[in-house]
Amino acid sequence: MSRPGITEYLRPESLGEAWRSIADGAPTVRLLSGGSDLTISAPPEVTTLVDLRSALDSTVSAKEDGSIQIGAGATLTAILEHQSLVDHAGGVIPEMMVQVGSPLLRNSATIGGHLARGRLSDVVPVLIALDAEVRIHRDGVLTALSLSRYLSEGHNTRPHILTEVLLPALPASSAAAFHRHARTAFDFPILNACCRVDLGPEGVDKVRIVCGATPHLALRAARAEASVMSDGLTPSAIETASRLAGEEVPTGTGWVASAEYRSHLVEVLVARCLTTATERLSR
Amino acid sequence: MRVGLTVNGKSEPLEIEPGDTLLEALRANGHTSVKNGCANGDCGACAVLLDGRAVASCLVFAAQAEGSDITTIDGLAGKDSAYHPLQQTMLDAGGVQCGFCIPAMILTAADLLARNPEPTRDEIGSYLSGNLCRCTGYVKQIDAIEMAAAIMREGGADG
Amino acid sequence: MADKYEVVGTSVHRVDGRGLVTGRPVFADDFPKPVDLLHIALLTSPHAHARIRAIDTTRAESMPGVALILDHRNTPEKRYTTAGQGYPEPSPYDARMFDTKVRWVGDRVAAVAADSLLEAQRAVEAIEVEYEVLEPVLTIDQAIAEGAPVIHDEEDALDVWDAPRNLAAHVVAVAGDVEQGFAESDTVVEVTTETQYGQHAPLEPHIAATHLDENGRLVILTSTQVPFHVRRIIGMLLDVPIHRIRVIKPRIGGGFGVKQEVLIEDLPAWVTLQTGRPAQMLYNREQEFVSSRTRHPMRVRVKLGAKADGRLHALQMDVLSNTGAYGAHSLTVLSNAGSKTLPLYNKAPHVRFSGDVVYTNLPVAGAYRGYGATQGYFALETAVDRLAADLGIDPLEWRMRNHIREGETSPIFAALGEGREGVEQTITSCALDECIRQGAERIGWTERRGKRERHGSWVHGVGMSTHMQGSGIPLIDMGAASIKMNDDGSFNLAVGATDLGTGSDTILGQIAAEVLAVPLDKIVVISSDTDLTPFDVGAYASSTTYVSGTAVARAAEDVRAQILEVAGDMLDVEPGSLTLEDERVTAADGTSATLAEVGIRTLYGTEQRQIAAIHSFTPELSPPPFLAAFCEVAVDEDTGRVVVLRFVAAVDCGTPINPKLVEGQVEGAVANGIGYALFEEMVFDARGRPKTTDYARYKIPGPEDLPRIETILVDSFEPTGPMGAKSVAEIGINAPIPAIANAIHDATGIWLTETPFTAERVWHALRSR
Repeated sequence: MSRPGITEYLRPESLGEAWRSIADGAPTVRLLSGGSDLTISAPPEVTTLVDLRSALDSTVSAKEDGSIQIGAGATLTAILEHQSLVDHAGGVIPEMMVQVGSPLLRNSATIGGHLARGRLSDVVPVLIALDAEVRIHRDGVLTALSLSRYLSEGHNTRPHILTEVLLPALPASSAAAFHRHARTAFDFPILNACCRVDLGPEGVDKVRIVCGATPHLALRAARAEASVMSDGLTPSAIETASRLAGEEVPTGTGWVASAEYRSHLVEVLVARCLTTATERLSR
Repeated sequence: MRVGLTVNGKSEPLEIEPGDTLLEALRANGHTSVKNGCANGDCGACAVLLDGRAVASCLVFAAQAEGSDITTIDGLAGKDSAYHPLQQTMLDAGGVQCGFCIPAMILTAADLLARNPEPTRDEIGSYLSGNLCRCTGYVKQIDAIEMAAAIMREGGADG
Repeated sequence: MADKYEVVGTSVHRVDGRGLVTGRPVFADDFPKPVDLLHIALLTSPHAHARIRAIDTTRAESMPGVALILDHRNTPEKRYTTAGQGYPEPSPYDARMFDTKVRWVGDRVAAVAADSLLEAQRAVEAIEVEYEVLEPVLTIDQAIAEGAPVIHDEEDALDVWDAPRNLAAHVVAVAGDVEQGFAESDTVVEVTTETQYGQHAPLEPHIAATHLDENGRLVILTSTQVPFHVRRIIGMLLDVPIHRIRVIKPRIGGGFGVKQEVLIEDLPAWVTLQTGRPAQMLYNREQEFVSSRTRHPMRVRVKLGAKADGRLHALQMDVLSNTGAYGAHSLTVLSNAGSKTLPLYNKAPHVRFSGDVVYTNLPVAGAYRGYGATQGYFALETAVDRLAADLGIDPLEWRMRNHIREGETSPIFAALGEGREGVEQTITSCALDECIRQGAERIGWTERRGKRERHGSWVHGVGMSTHMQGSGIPLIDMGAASIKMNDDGSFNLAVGATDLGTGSDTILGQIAAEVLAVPLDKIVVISSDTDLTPFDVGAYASSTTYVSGTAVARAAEDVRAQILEVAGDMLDVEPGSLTLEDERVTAADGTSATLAEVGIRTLYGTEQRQIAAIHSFTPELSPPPFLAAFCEVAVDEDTGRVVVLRFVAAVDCGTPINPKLVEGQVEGAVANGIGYALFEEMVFDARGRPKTTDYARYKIPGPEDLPRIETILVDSFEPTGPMGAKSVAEIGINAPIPAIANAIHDATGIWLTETPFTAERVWHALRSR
């Protein structure tokens, strides 16, 4: 809906210029990336939009070392369709992304804008499972930190400009899988999970079990991860790990699902993710 | 503020408020084929092509569209204003009931077919997941898009 | 059967198709706006139940752009019903334009008319209201509890069944003696089901625009299913003579019953009358969810008693219906829960229907496709499956043995009308057996039923349900059509009947084209303009094809006879010896005249006359369409998720006037029913405030949530219908809930009695197996 309180529209050409308009942290100034957030939920006090289109990189590029760099201005569709992301970790990114919102939404929403929100996201658990890092610009200084910390430490609530997402290179034997539960295909998630496993010569080298939309911020199920590290990925080990995840991941009751059901879903979806990731590893 | 939009190939300078969405700017400028079904990004009836990609125009500020090519249903038909294959097949297949969702659905389908000229029914349904229709159950609309895709593959398209 | 017709029975393009696929400005909000248009914003109640102690609009009145502010102090006080029904409306007169009490979160408090919507909204925010908050009544059980707060305590309401007990309506219909019947039965089964608040959610919200024409007449352009009822009710409410009002329906973006209501027209109409300026009220999506109309949530108990051989012996249905804050359609929807369900199994001599409608402080329920039958069939068709299971009979066989047939009747037809006594009738066409046979074959009933095929955590099941509906309201509905002939052998067909996207303009045109032996494009259809078209009750009760269609056929026959008379003069033969075919009248000796020649002669030649006719039709019967639904579901036993893999609807609607449009009606109704069965739910908090106020929270099905719905049009012919047609618009929506419930039982053994069948609900039921 039109936001009648917005009286100023800025188009900075550089990050520095963009930073200057938000530096003092005034709640009346908002960074605009894709627009899908602010068009429908800009609070009434917002008077100024800062369009980052010219200031942000919107490309996806695979680096020589196997890492992947995603400009914060890249649309979710660009991420869904980019060749270097299609096969990353066994195909988990398009597996997830095709279930995020709808094509109309993905064609204009950007990853930077999406991550700055953080909650009720299908993207966040997958990126956390892939050890994603973000770069944020503050007053001329570029800082790198994990996506996990970016969200859990509340960096997205203080003045900053998210400029890129970096996916580290994965070892040769690495796969992930994603599952979500919602009412319909085009719906916010009721519960989601992503599991990623790296295999080394002696077995499981690294595992990430991440649950989101609980409805809290996505987090890793540490005890479940420890269980996989010690017991591996046999069907019975997967059963144990997913049961642990169901016990340790805090869930909440809302009008759309109860905490009890969500915890049950944690167990089911984690088991499915681990099973699928294991299958992908053996290919 | 002044914003220069290009709609269906024509330059359309508009006087808008910075907080106006593209949906509002287009409708106020006579493009009433772009429908307001919810203004919340949930129904897809406001879809237009922005640089060839289907977006919900209620989720984009009008000012963001400066310098982009916007296509509405008017921009889809052939030069002698014959129907675009998607318009023809939508009628042939019986995919139109109240018609409120149709311009947006056709534009979204055009975006799909530009990228995937031979989609399966599942792929069509997936690409149209954000275009709600309350009248049809989507059966004949997906039929229509399949039919149009076949016509366009045989070179029967103009747009 | 389709071969006997040229135009009827063919899937010709809809007559309004070009404008719709090219996005022409044909909807109410698309027309150019007058520069002095006043926009209306609404102040609605934040409380579910409260008295308005004081309203202060002084600050709002002085704000920029504000022309007029409406509230209970300066608008008509008379009680009326918003229900778009024939006069006298069988709904309580319990509403006021603006009341001194608010009865649900979303009820009207005040309205501001201003030069722009933004200015109107800003002024709304400046209105100060003092409420005396009252205890809300938020469930059926709270409403009927001893000492419950009284929602309609006003003294001037009319036709409320028992206001102090929060009862809007009450119905009882009896045949035989069910107590005796159950005592004599070998097996008795009882089921109680509950259905939820659901909303139509049409893509185009309500909109009405008004102005005074050059002669000072009030013109109302509105997205409505009932233009003539709008004219009458607005005239009565605002004290304007009917002849000083014109109502026009443009293309509308879906109705499904929510626009069978005089919901918002009074606001711009009153503003226009007071200010002389044009005015428009357009609901936003939140208002469409909260402040329009919904389906009636119902608790339905069905009890069936049968003999050992399966023959139904006693049948009882008891209904508690929640009509929300006002009683529009309360009595008639309640009656329909029984009248469109119970006659289906007419073998029982002992039948009893009873129902009560309660008020609650929640959104107002009204007309919604299915109109009570949707809720009733959940209980009835799942009870049938349970009964069949108890008897050890295939539920398909049981239905074959017990359903009503051609030549048969049911005592319910006479006992249960729409708010009054019904009309006795005998079934004149019924191909339900064929529907069942073809549907069963298509789904693979015998092969798949009971197999519980597994794929990982998914288990499959197959279920069925059967249905009847009606074709209009006998002795009450009336539709009229007028046809006139043009110079070129084309015709103008004017009908009051209302196309909401259903394609009625097209099928009515097809009927006329068939009789007049012209292609459809030679029929110019004008509809739903109270100045230009004859009367029609409007689009509801599945009436248009049967009622309005018959009026069209009669008018066309009359015009045809006039044509033959003139051609007889031209060709100098007896009219009775002429044939009319392919736009030409031909005599036995081969001489002929084209319709164009007849047209020219009658307008400019000799004995000039306007060939024209106007006919009306009020049915004496309501021949039911029939439907047999078969669906296959997959249930994920780990999560409770239910997916409908296939849905087959085999339909007897008599002659399908336009097969693709008929299929479209069935597919759309089934899709809506699947949404209501699985995903859709209006949710409220503990104070009655709605949580599901947009399409993000209230989930209607998208293309990935539905199977490719399969429609089988079974051969049938209704002798009393136009070209053998019955109506078909509603029946499909009643099938998904019971067919899916029965399929879930086949897959898992659980019986679900509460909709929607959310994953969490199914999961709980699976756990307590």
